[in-house]
Amino acid sequence: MSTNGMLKGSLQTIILKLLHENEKMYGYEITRKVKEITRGEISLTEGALYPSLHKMEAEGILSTTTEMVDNRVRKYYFLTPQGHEQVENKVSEAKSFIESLELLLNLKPRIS
Amino acid sequence: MKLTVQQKREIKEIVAASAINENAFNEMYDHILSDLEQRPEAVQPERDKIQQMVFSEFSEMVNTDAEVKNYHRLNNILGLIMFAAALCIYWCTMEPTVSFWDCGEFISASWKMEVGHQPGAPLFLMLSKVFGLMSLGNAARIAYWTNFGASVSSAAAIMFLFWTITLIGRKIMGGQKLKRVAPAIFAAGIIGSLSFAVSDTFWFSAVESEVYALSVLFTAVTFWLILKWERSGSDRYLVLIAYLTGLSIGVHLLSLLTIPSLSLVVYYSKTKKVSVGGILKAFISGCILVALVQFGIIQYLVLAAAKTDLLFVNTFGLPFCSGAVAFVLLAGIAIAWGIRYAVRIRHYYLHLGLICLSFLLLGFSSYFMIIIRANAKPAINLSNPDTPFSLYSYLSRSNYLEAPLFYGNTFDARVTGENTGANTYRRGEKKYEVSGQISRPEYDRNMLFPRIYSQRQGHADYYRNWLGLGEEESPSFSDNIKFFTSWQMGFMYWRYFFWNFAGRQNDLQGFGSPVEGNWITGIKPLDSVRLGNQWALPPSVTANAAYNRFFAFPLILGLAGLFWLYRRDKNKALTLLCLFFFTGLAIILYLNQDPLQPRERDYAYVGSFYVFAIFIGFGVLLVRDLLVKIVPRIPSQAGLFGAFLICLAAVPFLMGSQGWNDHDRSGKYTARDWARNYLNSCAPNAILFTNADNDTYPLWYIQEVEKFRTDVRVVCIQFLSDDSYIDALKKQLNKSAPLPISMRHDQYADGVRDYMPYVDYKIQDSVELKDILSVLTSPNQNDMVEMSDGSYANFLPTRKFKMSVDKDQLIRTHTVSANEKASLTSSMEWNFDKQYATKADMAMFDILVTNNWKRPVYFATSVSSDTYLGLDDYLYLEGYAYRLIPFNKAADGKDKSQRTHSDVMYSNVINKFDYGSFKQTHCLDPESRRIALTSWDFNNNLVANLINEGKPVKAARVMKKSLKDLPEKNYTIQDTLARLATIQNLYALNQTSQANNEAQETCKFITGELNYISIQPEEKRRSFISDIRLGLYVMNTMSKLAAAYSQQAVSTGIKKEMDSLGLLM
Repeated sequence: MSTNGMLKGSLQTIILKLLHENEKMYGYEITRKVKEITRGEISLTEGALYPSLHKMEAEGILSTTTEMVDNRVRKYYFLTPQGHEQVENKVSEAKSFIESLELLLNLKPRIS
Repeated sequence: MKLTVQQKREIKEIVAASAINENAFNEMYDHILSDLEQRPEAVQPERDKIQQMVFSEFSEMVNTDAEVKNYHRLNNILGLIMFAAALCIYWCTMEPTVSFWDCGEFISASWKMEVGHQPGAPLFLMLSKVFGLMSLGNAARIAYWTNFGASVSSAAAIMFLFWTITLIGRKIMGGQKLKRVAPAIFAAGIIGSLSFAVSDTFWFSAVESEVYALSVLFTAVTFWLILKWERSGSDRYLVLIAYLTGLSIGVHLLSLLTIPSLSLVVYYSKTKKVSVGGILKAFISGCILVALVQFGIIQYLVLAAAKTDLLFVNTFGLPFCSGAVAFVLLAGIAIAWGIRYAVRIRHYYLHLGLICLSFLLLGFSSYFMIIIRANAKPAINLSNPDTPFSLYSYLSRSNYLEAPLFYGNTFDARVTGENTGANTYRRGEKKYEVSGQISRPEYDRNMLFPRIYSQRQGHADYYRNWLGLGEEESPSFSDNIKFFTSWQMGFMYWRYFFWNFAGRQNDLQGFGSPVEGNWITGIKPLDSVRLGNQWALPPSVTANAAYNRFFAFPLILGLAGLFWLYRRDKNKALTLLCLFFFTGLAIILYLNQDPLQPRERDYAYVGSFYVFAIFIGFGVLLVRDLLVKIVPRIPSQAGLFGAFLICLAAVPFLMGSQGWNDHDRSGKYTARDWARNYLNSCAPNAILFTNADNDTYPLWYIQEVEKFRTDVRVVCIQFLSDDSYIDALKKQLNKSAPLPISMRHDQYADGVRDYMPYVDYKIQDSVELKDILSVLTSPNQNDMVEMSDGSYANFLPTRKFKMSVDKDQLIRTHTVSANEKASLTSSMEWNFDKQYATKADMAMFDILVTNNWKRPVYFATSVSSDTYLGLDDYLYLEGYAYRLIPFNKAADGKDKSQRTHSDVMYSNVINKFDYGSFKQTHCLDPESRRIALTSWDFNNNLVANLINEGKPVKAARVMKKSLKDLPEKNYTIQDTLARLATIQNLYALNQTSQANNEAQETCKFITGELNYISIQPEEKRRSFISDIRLGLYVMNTMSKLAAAYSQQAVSTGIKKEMDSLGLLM
């Protein structure tokens, strides 16, 4: 399934939601998780994931810590208090959008 | 799958090569490894695929090869554009021929591979020669092309400045994507390098043949290389730096001053944790390194060679220089052995150090040119460094008075004794002979860190005046420090610094007056705090081409840049400040200058201005940051572009447009033409005695390079105490026959007859000069006096000299025409007015006696009064030089400059002199102005004398030519004195309306100056007292003159102006 175009707008929401549920995650873990949940239907590209993470980090929605794992540095992302506040907004925004989308795409005219 | 160590390392390399920063690297590396570890065993990671993935999927976190390549290409192209732009500016404003000061010496010495003044600049001379060859045999263009060499060096320095700024910028902003920060980096580079290109001091040296252009290039390249070293980590750069350092010694020692900052760069890049102690240690080792090169290598190595030579020559009886050659060979072998040893014990730093040392020595070897050429005895062979001993004293600048640095006397100290040190040696027939001892006087009043030590004429008064000390008051240590901070640092460094980056008042040499050579901003309220009223400035400021107002924009931008840099990279900022200090204030500390310097010295500190231009470059980025903050929602690139345009207009463009007129030397031939006129003042085969820089060097140039009037022998009295100089005078030089000197070499050898005191033998009558000469050169102890150290020295038994004159001889030799015979005296008598005779005096006596009028003898006009041996009454102006003629002494009380040999001078002025260059020149420098004024003085005297001698037609012709060609602009009140004589002559010649015009113009100028003085507060006005007196005197005299020639209107007009001033005064 080609999802890149559609994902673009909701990438942030997905990341926020995942972090909301998992406390802290590193980049590769996020891509794995998305694949896992969607059973491989959606795969995040690195080219889209990291710029989005860095942007949210710069905006103060995310923060990071590093840990040494297997002789290399691993960077974990987690939500800041500000991030936590935003999650619900974002998720409900996305939900209402999907509902609207469904309405539009269902092709069952309400007034008929 | 599990990755092997080898695989991991490969991936690490790929990722690290392009990651923009450590964070990005860690994230990518972790991601890629995690991904691979999740994959099934069978898939092998491929190098290409990983590389491709890094470039495409992580493009935000890496600089791709293409992006890096693009950056480099653009960086190179922009650097070359900066080079071209700077070269364009310099080529357009370059002096097309010889300039004043040392340029004439340098051009001559380079063209003929001669030996210039201490401590020499062999590499500069050799490179200048290469540029000179571009004249393709056209002697008139040689100076043009050597000047072009300075322009090319300067433009190249600008290019390296650009690259230095971009290297620093890249290091600081490298954590982001190069593509994104490149515009900011380049903007900084362009603003910084263009600003420096049009800065006052650097521009000045870029358009004439001086060493400073090339010296800055060496500084620029060396500093750039250490940054390259820092970036690449390859120690080959250090070897190249060592080689360039060695080479730079052959240009100017200033380039050594980069070393402490290099040592800081090395420290910062090698240390794991920066500490204050570490910084200090690095700084001090840098200083030690400078001292090692400056003293250890440049001086003591040569001294060691000299001592070896002494052993070989005097003890083993081998030929001269054999010991030095052996020493050089031995040193070479020792270094080679050392390098092999280092390799054997695998000591990397010893190996590197020795390789650097050998390259440094290789660069330093340019000094072989000096010793080789000194042995060829060329026409210019100052100090004759033809043996290792004389080369040592040449390198250690023994001819210059040494300023005490740490402990020394005060200006009011008295000499209590003498400290004698090491022997000095001269080259004898077959052996070295002791010529004397180095001796230093001891004083009764000394202090630490002495800054007010000079006992030269006028200096004590200057110190007292500057420090506000009374006549008998002794200076305290705090006075000493006050002079150091206010004069040495404030007046002789910061003033120059601000000239470059805040603004400059005018090109008059500053000695402390509020209207001469100060720095200004152009912001009147600000300047008025230091300099008094700025709202009614006099014409000597506003009409001066060097009245350049930058409103301190460059200064502010530079400080902004320093602030920006310091916040991002303290280490780099500190390194640059270190370089700034060493190439500026450290020189002030080292030079310990005494007052009343003959010229402005800004050129010595140009290295520190270079560093400041780096700061100016980064100032753009602070302006951008501010713009982005102030202007809402401005995109960052637009902010940068805006900042770039603002800075471009406010700094380099402003500096360039303000500075253009006073730096534009295109079409300026005043120095060359003056040299021609000077020599054309002399009859064929003349002997011309001159003294020092501006009287001598242009003459050397015109004779040595352009082969003009080489029949005239220029004898520079400054060098006449040097035995080798006298040797050279005894030889043919170009078309000039050997000079008539009767002394043998042993009579004037180094250390012999340096100083002959006057001992009054109560001789009533004047003594023939030839008898004086025999007494002075006598080998008998009976003709000597015992000196305080027990040695015997020749002496002057009288100061009343005479020379009997054979009148027919004077006519035979065409010294005078036959109809002047009646005016000749039969015996020329005069008083020698010094307390002692020097070797130079003795040589002049010899020339006068032995010549016996066969060759015409001339003296320069603008030299100190003791140059004339007391012969003033027998000197007659024939143009720019006085001719010695034994006419009967006139009792008219006239100064020698007012006595003209009128018919000869008339013919010289009308037929031989070309003044055309004055009017062709866009901007007359102070030296050209001085010459223009002198020309007016002399010609006015000639006109007045011609009128008195009843030759009004000739007088009118001289006046016409002068008015047509000589500039009349007044730059100072002093200049108006020359106008006075012009006005008087014009009235006398019945050119009344012209005279009236001149008088009114002059009156207007003086009124402008005096009006300004009159609005000064009382206490400031006092410093103008001589100007006030002079101005009023000139006005008063003009008014009287006009009245005497019945020009009542003009006379009363001037009177009225005076009265209105009088009320204000």
